[in-house]
Amino acid sequence: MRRLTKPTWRVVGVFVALLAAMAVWAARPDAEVLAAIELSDLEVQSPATHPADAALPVSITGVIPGDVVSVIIESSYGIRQIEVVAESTSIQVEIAPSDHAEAGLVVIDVWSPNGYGSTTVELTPGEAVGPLDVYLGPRTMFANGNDLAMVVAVPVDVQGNPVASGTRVDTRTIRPDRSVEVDATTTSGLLGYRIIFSETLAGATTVSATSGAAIGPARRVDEVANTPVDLDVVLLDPVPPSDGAALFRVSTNELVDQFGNLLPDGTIVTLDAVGVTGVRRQTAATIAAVATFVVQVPDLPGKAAFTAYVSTATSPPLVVDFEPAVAELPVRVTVPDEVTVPDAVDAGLQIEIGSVTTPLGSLVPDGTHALITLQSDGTDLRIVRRTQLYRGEGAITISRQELDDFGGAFGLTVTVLGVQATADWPRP
Amino acid sequence: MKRLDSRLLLRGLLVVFGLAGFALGALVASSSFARVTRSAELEDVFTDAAELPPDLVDQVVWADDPATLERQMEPLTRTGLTSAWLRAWEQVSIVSETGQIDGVEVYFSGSARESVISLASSWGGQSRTQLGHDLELTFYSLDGQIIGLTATESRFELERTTSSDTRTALTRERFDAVLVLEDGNWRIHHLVRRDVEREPWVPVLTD
Repeated sequence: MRRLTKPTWRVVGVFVALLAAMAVWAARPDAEVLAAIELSDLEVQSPATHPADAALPVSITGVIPGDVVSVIIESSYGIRQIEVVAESTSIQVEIAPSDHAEAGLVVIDVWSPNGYGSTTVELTPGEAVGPLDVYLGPRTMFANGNDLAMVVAVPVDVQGNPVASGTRVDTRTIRPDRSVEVDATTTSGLLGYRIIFSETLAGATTVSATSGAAIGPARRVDEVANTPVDLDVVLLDPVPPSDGAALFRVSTNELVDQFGNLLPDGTIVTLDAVGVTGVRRQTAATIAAVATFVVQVPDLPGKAAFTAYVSTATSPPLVVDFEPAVAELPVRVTVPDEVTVPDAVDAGLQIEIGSVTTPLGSLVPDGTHALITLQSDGTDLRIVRRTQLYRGEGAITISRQELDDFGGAFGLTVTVLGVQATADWPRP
Repeated sequence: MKRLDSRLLLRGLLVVFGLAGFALGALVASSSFARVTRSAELEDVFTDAAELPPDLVDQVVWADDPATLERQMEPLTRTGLTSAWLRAWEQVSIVSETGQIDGVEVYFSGSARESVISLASSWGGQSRTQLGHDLELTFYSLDGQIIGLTATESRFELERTTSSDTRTALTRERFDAVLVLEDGNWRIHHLVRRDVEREPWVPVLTD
């Protein structure tokens, strides 16, 4: 191998230098690590406790004159930063109240280019100022002497900090009978509260709270009647006959609780009617402690029981006897003369109903249904027709072909509003 | 033959240095890319919404409720309260990192909201990230509208970045808080720190 030429050595030298540079770059310490120098201790002093609304003095020792010193005030919600230039190794900083408004434990961190120190200060809140933050709930309670509501007050100082634990909160409760109760409690866990028990007179109870000079808005809780006693159902109108159309009114008695308090307007009352046509359920809201229902009469005569429900109270059933709505039900059956009537072969049987009248002497309402049933005496065969009465009358025709299967005699029944008229008729 | 040896040596060196140069380029590129993905702009994008870190839910531990409570807390309410507490602190974290206050009114009310907003622009270079909370219920109003609680230990990681370095510190803090139910949301109404136990600031060692 011959000796390398000078240019070759130069190239090799350049590559070796490059390699060395790469090695140095790869092995470089991180820039942040380089900067993570040891910090000297700064001595930071401040009062252990201090009013939140007063300027806070902080003493810092150990800084280098000329350094920019960052003072970081960290409260419950965030931080504020102040920068000062050190004029000597010991500096005094006065932190304005606006820079440490939040009460509680505040951490003061002091950073200089080469040093760090920290301290904590308990910033104490000031006196309560108005308006006092007052909550009251629930907003209604039963006037049964046993229900309860709660008034909660969160007194704060002028900077919005909850006042110190143990701060007195006075409450004033005005009852529906205008009697006044005064009570006091103290704050704990940033708030103060008091339980208010109901009395036995329904009405508005007003609660107000104060803490020192702080006055809060009055809050209202309604004391309302509890479950009614002696719930009953009464008829307001004469009971119409059971024509399926007439209306009549049923109501509750005046609803009062055990202490005589009227139930509030809007109390929902449920009325169940159980009778020959089944069960019907209605609801109504009370007005002046009475719930009124408008009930449609059934289309069948018979008895129906009306029962009202309010909360857990149940009335005894009110039994109403619905009279038949039909006083007279004439039925005429005719067989056309095959000689005089040309189409008598198909005419069969003609059944005419009416005039059907009510117990009051009037005609039954138009549209009233009439049910016509022909029952063969000798077989199970049956023909059923339905028609509606107009002006109290109606008519149907049973063709001869339909009657062909009927052997011998058959029975005819006409039913209108549950009233029946019957007739036996020989086969024509 | 000797000239050939010299040329072969030069070519070998060129190959070696070529490979080394390629490796160096890849290293520089990856390093640059890693720095780009940590840029503040991207952090802004990814922390805009107050997403609740799922792991954090497991880091909330409730102490047994005191028997003196006037009303027992419903499980569903506790779940909502836990979520609100975590989201509120997540919002503080977002505020500390970005200065954005868009979601503050969702999780804070009253003077607490005003304080968080007024301090939003002062965080520069320092941030706070929650790590977990030990909570104890101290008050629950009869109508279920107001809650008092004590965070017997809330754990955070503080980070302070300056032109020269970045340092972090773990901190354990104790808070008293009042939360109110507004519009169906639990919001922090008052927050008062009672105690702080902070570990020393340590420099962040990054690649």
